[in-house]
Amino acid sequence: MSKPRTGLLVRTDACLGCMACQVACREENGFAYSEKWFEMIRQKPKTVDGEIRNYHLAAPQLDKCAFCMEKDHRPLCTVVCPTRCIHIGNEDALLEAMQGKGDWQLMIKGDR
Amino acid sequence: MQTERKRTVCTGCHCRCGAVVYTQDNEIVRIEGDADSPYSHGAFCGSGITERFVHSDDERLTVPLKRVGERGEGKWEEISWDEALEMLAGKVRDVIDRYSARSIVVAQGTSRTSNDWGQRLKATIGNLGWGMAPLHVCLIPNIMPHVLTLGAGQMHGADVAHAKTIVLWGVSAINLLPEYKEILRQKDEAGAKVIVIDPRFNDLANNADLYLRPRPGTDGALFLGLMNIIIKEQLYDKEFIDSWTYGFDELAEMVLEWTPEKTSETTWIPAELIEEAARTMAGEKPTTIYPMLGPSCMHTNAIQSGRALTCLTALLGPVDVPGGFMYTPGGGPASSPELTLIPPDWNFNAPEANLLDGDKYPAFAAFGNANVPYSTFDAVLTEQPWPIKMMVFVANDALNCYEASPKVFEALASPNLEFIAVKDFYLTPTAKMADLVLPSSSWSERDTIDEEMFKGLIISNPRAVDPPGQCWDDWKFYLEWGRRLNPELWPWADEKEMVLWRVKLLHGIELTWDEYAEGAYFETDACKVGAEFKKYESGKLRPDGQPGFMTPSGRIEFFSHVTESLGYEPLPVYHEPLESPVSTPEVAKDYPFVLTTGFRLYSFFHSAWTNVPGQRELYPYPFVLINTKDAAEKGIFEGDWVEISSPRAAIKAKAQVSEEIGAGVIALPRPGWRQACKQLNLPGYNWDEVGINTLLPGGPGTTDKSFSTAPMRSTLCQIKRLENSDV
Repeated sequence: MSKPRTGLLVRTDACLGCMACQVACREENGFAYSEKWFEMIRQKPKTVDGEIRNYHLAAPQLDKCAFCMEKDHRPLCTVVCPTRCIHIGNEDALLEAMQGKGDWQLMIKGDR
Repeated sequence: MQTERKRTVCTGCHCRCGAVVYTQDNEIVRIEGDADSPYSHGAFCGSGITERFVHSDDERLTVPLKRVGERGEGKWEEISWDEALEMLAGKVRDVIDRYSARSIVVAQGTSRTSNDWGQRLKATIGNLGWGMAPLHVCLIPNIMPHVLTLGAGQMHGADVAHAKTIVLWGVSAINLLPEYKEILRQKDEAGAKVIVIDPRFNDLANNADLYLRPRPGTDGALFLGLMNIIIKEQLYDKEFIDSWTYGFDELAEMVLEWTPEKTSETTWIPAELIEEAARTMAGEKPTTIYPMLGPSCMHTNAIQSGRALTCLTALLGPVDVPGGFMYTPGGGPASSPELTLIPPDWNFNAPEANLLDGDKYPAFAAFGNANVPYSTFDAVLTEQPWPIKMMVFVANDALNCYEASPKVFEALASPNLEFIAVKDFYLTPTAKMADLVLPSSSWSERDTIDEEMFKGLIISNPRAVDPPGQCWDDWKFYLEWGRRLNPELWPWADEKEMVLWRVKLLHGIELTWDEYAEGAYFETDACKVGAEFKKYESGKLRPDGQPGFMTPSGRIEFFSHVTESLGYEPLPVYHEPLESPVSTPEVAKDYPFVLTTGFRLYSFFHSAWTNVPGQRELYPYPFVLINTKDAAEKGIFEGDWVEISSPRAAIKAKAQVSEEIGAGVIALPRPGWRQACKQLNLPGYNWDEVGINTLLPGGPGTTDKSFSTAPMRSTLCQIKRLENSDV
């Protein structure tokens, strides 16, 4: 049986875009300042049907997320998130989490 | 290597999140939120976890420095703490001999837990009160109206965890991180409605049910407009209002003119939206209002806007119910005369209180207990009404803190000011002007306590690591400085003894250090009182045990004689900001945009940490928000360097173009100033080229009439694309 696929899930209507996850990734992994393994893409408020709306998006390097899952503690990005809206895990667990209330952004690392 | 787990509290901002710091050999390896914290429940932020960098950064100040060249020249000599403290104590004695204690001014920034010890130190010198803390633009303009109207010494009474309607008014998401999960849960599980009111479409608005965008500085009018609808449509609890409030008829008559149409014209919010908001607030109760600095601080109409806020709070009563406005007596900033050495009956409005311009701004003297900052810098230059010879700034970068920064610089550069000491983490612009610079320890390096935000709880705050070099926390600094001035007033061996003495004094709990550090969470008597509801019925809000509120009438005061005695109308009358398109149309011809400054970012705290790469990466350049439509008219594109000018000065910033801010309004976050960040190869930007406070007016006729609040959130400006826009 092949290894389960892993990924990252964000509840976008709970995400404030505070970027603590992005800072956490740098703190946790200590990569060079010229590198960036995870970015919180803050979108700007825009008009939709005459109303202003907004939400933010996560842009991880998914191979690095898989690497974080193997540590002896939970990935710092998920722990530091003030709304606990970000999850890293196996595909099944993430699909399960998505059954809860909210809007979701799911990214799965495919086989190559 | 052994990894140790240390629990403490991050005191880096007002959120006071519980922290878990993992360490190896006095180095920090990882920081998480404290999931067991009964206050923050594990919440944390990006800024807080970069403490790891701050703790080990070799560019941090770690040794006392004495100026050896000219002031501001940047030539320093490393000295010992002993020598530094002798200089400080010697200069205090010298100034008192030649002038008097009032010629010495000790200033501070936002407390890193040391408010009351700072007051004790000032009292040791001979100055009672807050010295020159920037209380005119902090949360006191929120607290004061809560005292006047509701008899509550609190900056708000929000209980978001149980509310059916949650009104987030002029508060940024960063201030709500420990509590945002509760809001989300209340929305998901109880169907709570969220109303966000802010000139900026901030992240809390992303999922709000209603978003109202007032013109900056007109919140006072919006409160009145909401009350107009609630009273006209009789959406209030008549029995509560009749039994427990004072001056309702006068209030009702006053708000008659604030029809939705008139309120809309003043605030720029559509009338239908104002009506919908009023009906939601008064319909789906309990309703809780969470205000921060936005609505009723940092405006020239600050105190009356705060009065209007607190009157609306009462009108949405009954108060002191779960999910409504909660009274937390014993919470808030704790203090006592034994600690601050301020006698309980001390009159800060009397001439012998020696507060600069206390007579001109009686509300500030009474509730701020401090020298009026602009007047103090002016007194350095004019030596009137008395000379100022020595200034000490503790975690206060004056050039990025007070309004009218050029005036501050002029004072700091003046030969009249004989001695400047600055205690901070890095060499700030103000520290560069100092004669003595003192290194400060950061939150993970302090053995301390601060219960201000915990609603009666004590959450202990032991150090996780030892500070680098000779960094001292503020308690130790005040102790050692105070001891040299009057050893009898400073009998403690160290800051740990001070913590334990304070816990016993304020809360009656006797602990050893280990019990304090390891016990982590302690309930005080205030928790028990705070957990009871409708305490005004049981007499628990008044020291005399009588039912009612801690106001002169014993009722919630829509009509307030005390407010009148401080120089305001007894009712919360709306006044236009002193500089606005309405009040100064001639100024608005050249400066047509409303300017609001100082909204919070997720990185930085006030002017600190702009050099910390994990934080700076998120906001590399000073920037300004402009609406899409305005940008198009001005030929400004995303990322352009633009000039923002006021009748006072001009600064530059990079444009961010979007709907985040409304048309006709320009918003500048704090800070503009950036310290260079070598790890990211990003330059520094000095206060005089990007500092937002340079744009603001200062002095007589430009502030709240009795509280001296500077209009950081509502003035006028112009904006234009800089010719050479890639600089």
